Amino acid sequence: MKVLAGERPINDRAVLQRCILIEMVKGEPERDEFSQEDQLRLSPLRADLLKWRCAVIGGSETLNYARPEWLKSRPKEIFGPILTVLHGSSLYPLVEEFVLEQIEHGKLNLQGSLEANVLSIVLKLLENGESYSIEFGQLWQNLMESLSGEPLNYKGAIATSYAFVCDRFGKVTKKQVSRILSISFSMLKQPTVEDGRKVTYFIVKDRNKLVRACKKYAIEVPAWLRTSDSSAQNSVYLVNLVNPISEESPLPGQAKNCHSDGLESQSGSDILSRNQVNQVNQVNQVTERSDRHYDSVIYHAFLLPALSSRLGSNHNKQQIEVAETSKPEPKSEPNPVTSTPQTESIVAEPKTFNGLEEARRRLEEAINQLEPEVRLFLDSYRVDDSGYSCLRCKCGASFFSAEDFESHVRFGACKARRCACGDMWLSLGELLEHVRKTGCTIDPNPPPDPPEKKAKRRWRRLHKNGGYFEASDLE
Amino acid sequence: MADDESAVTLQEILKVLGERVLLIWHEREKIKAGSKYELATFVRRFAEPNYTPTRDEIVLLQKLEKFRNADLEGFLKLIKQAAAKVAPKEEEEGAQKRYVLSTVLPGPVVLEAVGLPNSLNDYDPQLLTYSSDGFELNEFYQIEDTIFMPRSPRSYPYPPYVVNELDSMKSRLDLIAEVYREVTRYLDVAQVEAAIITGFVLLTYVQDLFSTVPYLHFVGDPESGKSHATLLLGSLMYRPLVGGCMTAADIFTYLGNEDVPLTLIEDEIQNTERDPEKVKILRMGYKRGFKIPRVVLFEGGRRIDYFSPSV
Repeated sequence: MKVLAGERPINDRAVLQRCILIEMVKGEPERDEFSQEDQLRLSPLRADLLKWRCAVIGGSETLNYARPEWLKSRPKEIFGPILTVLHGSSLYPLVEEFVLEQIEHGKLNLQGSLEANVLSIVLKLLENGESYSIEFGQLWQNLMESLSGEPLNYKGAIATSYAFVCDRFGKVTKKQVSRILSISFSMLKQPTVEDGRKVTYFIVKDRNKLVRACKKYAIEVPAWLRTSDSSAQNSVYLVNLVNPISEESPLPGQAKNCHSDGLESQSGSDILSRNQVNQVNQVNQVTERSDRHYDSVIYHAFLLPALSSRLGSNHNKQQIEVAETSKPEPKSEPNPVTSTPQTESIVAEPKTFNGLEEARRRLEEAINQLEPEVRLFLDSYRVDDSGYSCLRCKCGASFFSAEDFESHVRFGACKARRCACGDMWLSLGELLEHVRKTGCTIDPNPPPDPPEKKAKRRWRRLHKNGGYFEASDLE
Repeated sequence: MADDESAVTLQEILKVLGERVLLIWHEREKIKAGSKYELATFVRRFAEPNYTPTRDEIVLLQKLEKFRNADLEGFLKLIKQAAAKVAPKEEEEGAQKRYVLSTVLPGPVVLEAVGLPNSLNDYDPQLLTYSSDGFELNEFYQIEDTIFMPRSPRSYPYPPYVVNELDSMKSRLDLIAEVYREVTRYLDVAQVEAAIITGFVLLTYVQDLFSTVPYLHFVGDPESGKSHATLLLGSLMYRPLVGGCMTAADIFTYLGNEDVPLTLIEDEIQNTERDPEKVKILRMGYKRGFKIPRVVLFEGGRRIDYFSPSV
């Protein structure tokens, strides 16, 4: 058993649930100090308590376990033992009343919780919808409106909000709501691509769990959720999930025109068939590729000009030209999910980059322009299908331009150490070990120190951002 | 032996005998406590300028003084004899010793380690034995080949229980009334809060019987009486460790090898949530049955111990 004392409650919901809080306020007790004398005075009482323990544990005295009907679950775990110990005494009614109050208070807390709010919106959306799935964006909007939340965006990002702030719950994040849907209500998260954008759906796996959640959060169970047994619920759900291809009743969030294997589950899961799992995976793969492609377009369209204007590099300008001629339009990008009827074609690669060879050639030219001693640090370079290029230093760092790479080496920030024989070592210790073993000498001309503090600061900022500029750098 | 002159003489003897005497003492201490800590304590105590021997030590030191001019072998022999005399005789016959704070044996027989005040303002370890015959105070309790010895009061972080009256026992309702009186005397809290604290105090003594137990959490501004409450509870609850800044390792060490659920009272609990290991212990420590494995190093190598936050 544990007694905790502190100026504020422990900030962990699970631990706090197991605690009985006693809020102390400065008062005037009969005795306001605790000395050695007090300890001695309490010694006989301690001895009596110990003897009582011996009698109870030894079985000569019994405890009547308090098992009132209203005491269930966590309150039973927490207050049950205390009620048992106090059973029959004049203090019992006091504690009993307190426990009842606590239970009522807990119920009210649950009713006003974020989970309860999310659940009521989920039920509303499900009732209005045609299937057992809800679109997360729609849920998010409804939740934000119902709680009068102010959206929060990532710093400098144009993207949609990742959280909102409201008076009742403070900051509520999408991740938090997603977790409530997945874990508290046992809904299945299914990310998809619709019209070239990511859309996430949450699908009801088991309606019984929603019914139980309604009871927990004291929300009236709607009639459509109450009817039909659990097996029927699952069938309905599976039919909706596995047959989204029919044009008559497409399930929002499902990839259209996909194959269906019916209700037979081949993967051992009673929720998704193997084909269904493959479809989800394929959609995810396409989504990831699409993301990467989108990053590349953003990079070539916005970041590279800024980079080149800062550093005055011809190399970067050349790359922009290449990128502009080849960048695919995000909106006109063919959506492999919606346009291809066969499952196999879902994983269609993004279109081949036309100027790929040109980009590679120009990058190699830029590398050739590097000083030989800087080139020694170059480990490899990469140009992908969309013209996305990067140089990799021997120390492991990656750079988007030859200039960045050069400044990384020249400013002495590179962790790779060079020996006179030309070998590279990732630490001074390894270099010294190499010198000791081979009799080689350390490079007499190490990279020069940073020429000026300003450049060093700029480089540090660049490095800190992983090679990206901040929004302020783009202005 | 208690006067200063003879104590100085003994110090001189020990100085002469040096390490060899200490080795013998080590042997004896090993028998007595079975831990390195006891030896370290013993050596440290001898190094103190105002060293006062305990009752057992006096027996040995008296023998030593008689033979101060005798040969070394005679000394050692005598020390061994004295050590054997202090230890139970069954030791030589291969009986196993177990040092306990509290344990329940079939019967049922309940054993509790308590202290018996001696003339040296210290406590001698004693076993409070409860069986169908009532309460008894013993130096040890033997069942078959196992000798149950009380743990020394020096080995636990609270004053030992001192049991004087063995014939009478108060009822639960009387105890509730007494504890409630003390709680309201020392703490200015609401009636229901005092009732909960009272129930909590009694619950610590019988927590073995429950599968779950609550935590009591005092919250308040500085000077609101939190620490005062923890001190009071430290004097009333069952075998408590009162302190602060307890790490997970401290908790494991305290709960250690005991068969009984002990009580932890921790002040200044704020920011504990930053210690994930401790939070996890708190989360599952309220319920019986969870085990936390830890690898423990000892002289012979390493082993895995399983700690129960709530036994």
